Amino acid sequence: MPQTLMHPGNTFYASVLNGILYILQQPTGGQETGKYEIESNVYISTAFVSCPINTWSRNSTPVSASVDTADDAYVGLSSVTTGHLTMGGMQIFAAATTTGADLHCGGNWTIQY
Amino acid sequence: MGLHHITEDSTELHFHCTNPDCEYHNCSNWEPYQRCEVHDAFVHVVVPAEEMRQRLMGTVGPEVLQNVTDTVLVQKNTDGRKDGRTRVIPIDHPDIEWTGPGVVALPTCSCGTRMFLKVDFTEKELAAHNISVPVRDPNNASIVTRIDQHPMVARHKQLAEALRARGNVWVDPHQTPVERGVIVHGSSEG
Repeated sequence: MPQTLMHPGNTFYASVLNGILYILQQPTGGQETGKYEIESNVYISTAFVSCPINTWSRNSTPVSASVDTADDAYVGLSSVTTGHLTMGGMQIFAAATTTGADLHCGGNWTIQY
Repeated sequence: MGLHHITEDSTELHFHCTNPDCEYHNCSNWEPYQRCEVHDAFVHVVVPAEEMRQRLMGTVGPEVLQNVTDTVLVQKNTDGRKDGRTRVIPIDHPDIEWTGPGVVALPTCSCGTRMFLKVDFTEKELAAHNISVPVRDPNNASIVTRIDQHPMVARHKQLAEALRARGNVWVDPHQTPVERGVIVHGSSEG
């Protein structure tokens, strides 16, 4: 969510500072969102293609994550999946359905805290 | 967000979608502590210096009061939240599967989004500030009256327990069939 810029002479309340801290340390019920893209050459049809997701938030434990392929539909991959959902990030991966030089998919991720 | 509800006998799961364009995105029905990254907004309010001094009178010293200028406050605004449907599925749905040692995937939504639930937590993860939540005395915020646990933790653990009881367990794809116990050396199964 957008934050407010402070100007010289402003007094600000604790909630303004917490708005910034909540980005770095998500509160209960908070969300962090972002984009991912996985792409690779695949020469074995059972291969997995993956990418790491590092969140801004540290020290908060995620309770769930969601992913889609809204930006880049599956080409040679299927079932985009997450694993290793821990403080600081997660892994996004997908299984190859074929071999080829340019298998890819991409979209949005959301982690809930 | 995670499991919005799991029935007491663990047979039915209720949840919503994070995709703001999905018919199952129902942030107006989320529990009060939950934020919607898409539809919630911060409203910034400027309180004039004189009014702020009145509000702070008695809580800070006179030298601080004297220096208070127009003050920026932040308030959460949830007016933009969206009504949607709740997705209800049975626990024996074939697309509920483990995708990691402590992660369970729910069936993919009609919009293409898939949700993954963290169902196992370490001691360190349970001690995190967003999981062990201090409840403060409404009359004196410096007093913590009790520590509550994030409601999703109990629901997700209940789901994991129910899945394991039904034989739906995590299988490490890196393990060989022998390590998984599917093939036993020396047996007559060939």
